[in-house]
Amino acid sequence: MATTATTPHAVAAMPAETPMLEVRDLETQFFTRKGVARVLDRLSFSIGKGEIVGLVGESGSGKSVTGFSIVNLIKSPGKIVAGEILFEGRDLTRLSEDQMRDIRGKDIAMIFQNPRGSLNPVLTVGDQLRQVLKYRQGMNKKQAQERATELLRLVHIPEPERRLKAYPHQLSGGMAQRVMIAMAISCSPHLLIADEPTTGLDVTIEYQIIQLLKEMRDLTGTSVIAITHDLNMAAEVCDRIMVMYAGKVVEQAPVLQFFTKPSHPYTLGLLASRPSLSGGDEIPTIPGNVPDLIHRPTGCAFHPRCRWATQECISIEPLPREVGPGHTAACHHLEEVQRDIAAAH
Amino acid sequence: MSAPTIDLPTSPVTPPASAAALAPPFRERLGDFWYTLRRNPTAMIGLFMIGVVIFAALFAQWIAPYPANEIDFAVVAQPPTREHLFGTDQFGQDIFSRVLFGARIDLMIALSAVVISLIIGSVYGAISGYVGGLTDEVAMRIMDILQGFPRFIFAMGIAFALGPGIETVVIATAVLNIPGYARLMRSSMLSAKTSQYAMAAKAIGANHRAILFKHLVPNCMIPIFVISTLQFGWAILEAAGLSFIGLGVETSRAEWGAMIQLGFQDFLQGHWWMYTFPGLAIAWTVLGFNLLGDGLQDVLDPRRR
Amino acid sequence: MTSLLRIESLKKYYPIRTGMFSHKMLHAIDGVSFDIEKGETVGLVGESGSGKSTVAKCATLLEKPSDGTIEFEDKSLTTLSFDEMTRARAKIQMVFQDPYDSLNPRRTAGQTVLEPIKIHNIASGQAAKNRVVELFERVGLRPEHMARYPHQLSGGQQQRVGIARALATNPDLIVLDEPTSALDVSVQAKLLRLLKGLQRDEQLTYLFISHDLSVIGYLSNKVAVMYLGQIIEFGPTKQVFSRPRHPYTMALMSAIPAANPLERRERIILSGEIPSPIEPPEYCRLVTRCPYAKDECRSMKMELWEVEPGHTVACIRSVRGEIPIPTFLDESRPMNLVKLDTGSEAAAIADDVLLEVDDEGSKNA
Repeated sequence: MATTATTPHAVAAMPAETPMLEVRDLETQFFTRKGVARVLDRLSFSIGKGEIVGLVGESGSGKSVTGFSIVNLIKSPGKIVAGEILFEGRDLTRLSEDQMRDIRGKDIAMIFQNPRGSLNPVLTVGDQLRQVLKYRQGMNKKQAQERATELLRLVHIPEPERRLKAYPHQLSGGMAQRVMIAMAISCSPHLLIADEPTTGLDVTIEYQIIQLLKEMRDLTGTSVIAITHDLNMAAEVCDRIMVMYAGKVVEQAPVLQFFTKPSHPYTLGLLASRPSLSGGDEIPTIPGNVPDLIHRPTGCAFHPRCRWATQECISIEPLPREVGPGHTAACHHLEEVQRDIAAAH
Repeated sequence: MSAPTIDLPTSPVTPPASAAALAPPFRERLGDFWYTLRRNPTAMIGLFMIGVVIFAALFAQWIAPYPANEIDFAVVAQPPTREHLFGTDQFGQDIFSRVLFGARIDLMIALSAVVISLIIGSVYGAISGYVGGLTDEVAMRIMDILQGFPRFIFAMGIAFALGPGIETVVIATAVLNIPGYARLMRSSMLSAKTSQYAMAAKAIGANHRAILFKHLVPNCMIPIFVISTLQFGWAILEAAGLSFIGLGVETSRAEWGAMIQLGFQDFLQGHWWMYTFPGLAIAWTVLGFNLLGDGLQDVLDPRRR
Repeated sequence: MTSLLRIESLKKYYPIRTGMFSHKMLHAIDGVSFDIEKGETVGLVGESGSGKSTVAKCATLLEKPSDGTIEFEDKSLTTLSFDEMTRARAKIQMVFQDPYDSLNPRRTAGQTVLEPIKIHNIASGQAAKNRVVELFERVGLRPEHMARYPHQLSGGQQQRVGIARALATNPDLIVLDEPTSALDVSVQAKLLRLLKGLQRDEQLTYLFISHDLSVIGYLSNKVAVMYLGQIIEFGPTKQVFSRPRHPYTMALMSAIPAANPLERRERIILSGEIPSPIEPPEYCRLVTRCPYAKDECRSMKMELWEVEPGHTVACIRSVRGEIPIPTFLDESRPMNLVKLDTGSEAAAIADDVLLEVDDEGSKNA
């Protein structure tokens, strides 16, 4: 696995201490009939300890592929072709499948969008939780039972003893997601990857799950990557937000900065595309569609959809530039964008 | 703000030639299918094996060294030699040639049986599943009764009633396969009829016949086609089985089951080639259809492309 | 203004088998009444199990109501013959939630849109085909999309085909059942804009069903909030959203994650989960989760009381003024002022180029 040249920007927005996860120049490609889709394009970012980072993007941005790449669950025709994933100093791309299996579920846990589908339908919740505890933590039957009950109580499931005997189909979506979270934190992972954890849940339940994720972080100190298409949800739960477009992080910022001083044109578009409760005015939309990853636009991948695009954007790929503390954006025209925002007020 | 003028890279996508047509040309669709099929080794091996059989059936006249029914008492019951690759039977008929010609009859029997049961079974199952309720309940219990008989005993019953012959084999095999098709169609129908496109068809005012045969049935055909390739294999086995017990094709005709029966009469003399080669032909064909069926399952689902 | 669709104490129960010979009734909708006037958009908000989709199916004649009446242009829809029903269907169309599942995977986009034109004898032959082309243009698709199968279109394009199919019969009322919930925000924004434009150009009336309050806020004049098969609050969208009166509406409003973390909203938090619609609470439906519930809420029949002109609410404590009303300020969003889609020729041309591109990559992603 060849690593490409050094990247000057990979360290741009890093927390003071050594990051617990650092992704460098990651390239995951899908080999399709029509050609090679470069889904992740020299993707670089890092996650600090105890941080909740939102990985935001639309379908096709590569956000889910990023999650699966980290735990090495990319299936054919996809393949990680280059880059490093440094997790607590170890490069995950170089580990064997056995070593990786050991890390998955123990050091890195994952929860998914469809919680009921991720649970085994023929085993009770208790069976599945106890199994994880027995295999991963070497607990005996009694310990596992006690810990399982405790875990369900931790994720605020009422009557945990009774719920342990329930089958997944007897749980509501929200309840199933709580069980998944309980299972994920059962081995006190250092990193939790939550792929669209609240998509498909009702708003009142979604809010409860968001609160739960934060609570778990406070309790266990685990880092969380929250992969989502929902900026509102990211705003609620994350410390830091990274926006992905065509397999790259185009902007990253601490959450307050992100909403008060969005800088990349794509971020502006995403923020503006959300309809407002008060209705009324036309919603601004981003022209065009997500790019074809087989025939990627040259230069800045966003240029065909950007009103600020110039010749420079077509020929030269922008590197992330510092906008504020811990806030970078990859755009040639940050100044013009800011000026136009100021002028529009 | 003045609009910057830039040179756009040329579009990588060529507009389709079929602009403003309602459907893409058939060749394009076939191309997609062939592309996915080609990358599926199971299906390709199956296709090759069946291809050999079909080739034999089509060109038996030219590739067979002897006619199917050339009795030659000079070479009775010969083991395989250079002149007779698979040996000869009690009447001196060349077994290799008969195996080649046998492909014709066996494929024909299987094809007719499968087509008959496919049409009757799927229409039956489609209506049963679509109408639902008591109709469905009664219709399915009838299928239960049909399936409740041991398959072979049932076929024997039909054969006894109609007398031996190719038609008997076809009808018996077809009837045996109807419940399978009906059940499969019904279960696909039950899930298809709750789909949003079925609801959408109802919402635009389509009548039941249009919803059923224009929208639902075409979307339920994939498993039916897949099962058909598997059924093809089974039909050949069943037809051969009936002939072997003397209820099917007369032994004078070049049909694999009948050849095995003929050969088996010489079992004690140790004339192994008489039944082994037709047997292998059956195994080869059945395996080919099974492999193709398994492969097709992956290839034919439009949502998995 | 005259009412186009009038729904009066609509009920829909489904039998659920509980044993070999016994069954219970699932109360999908339990006494829903509201009017839709010509040219307006009524939003129907609720969480899963609220019965909002069942209302849609009853209004589009896809389900027969168990009880109650539905009148369209002052004619009852519940007592139609089959032919009358087919004719009524041309006037009431529906756009479905899942853009992919709502299109027959074995028919092309063009064939799908052509079908209603043929069924209702609106045009035939070349004229019918021209109408399909025209409908495609109206929803922002191009003629070459007609030959595509659903799996060759992006989610946004699929939903545009669904909208074109609904428009094909020149309907008066379109029921939109969560049409954008499966789409990305930027695609959603374009579709909402399209829907708003179509409504303006063709005097359409919408019944818009969604769980997303901001989408409802953007598109509808009036909003009905549903919970467990009943409407618990109804009124002009602006009034309901700025000063919600029912504790459930308040909870829904405050559960929307803040668009801006600087905003600190007052939280009204509902405990627990939605009760089963098989045995819903007898009087106030929210009583098991409501932070303001008192004994009387368990013994008093709730109805929609008017609190402001046109604004009704089914909560006795709120009507009496015993519940503090939170105010939800309009979010200020400076980004809106920057026009993103004007000014760049590059973007304008690129839009055309990119429409062509299928999202192979996104399917893999």
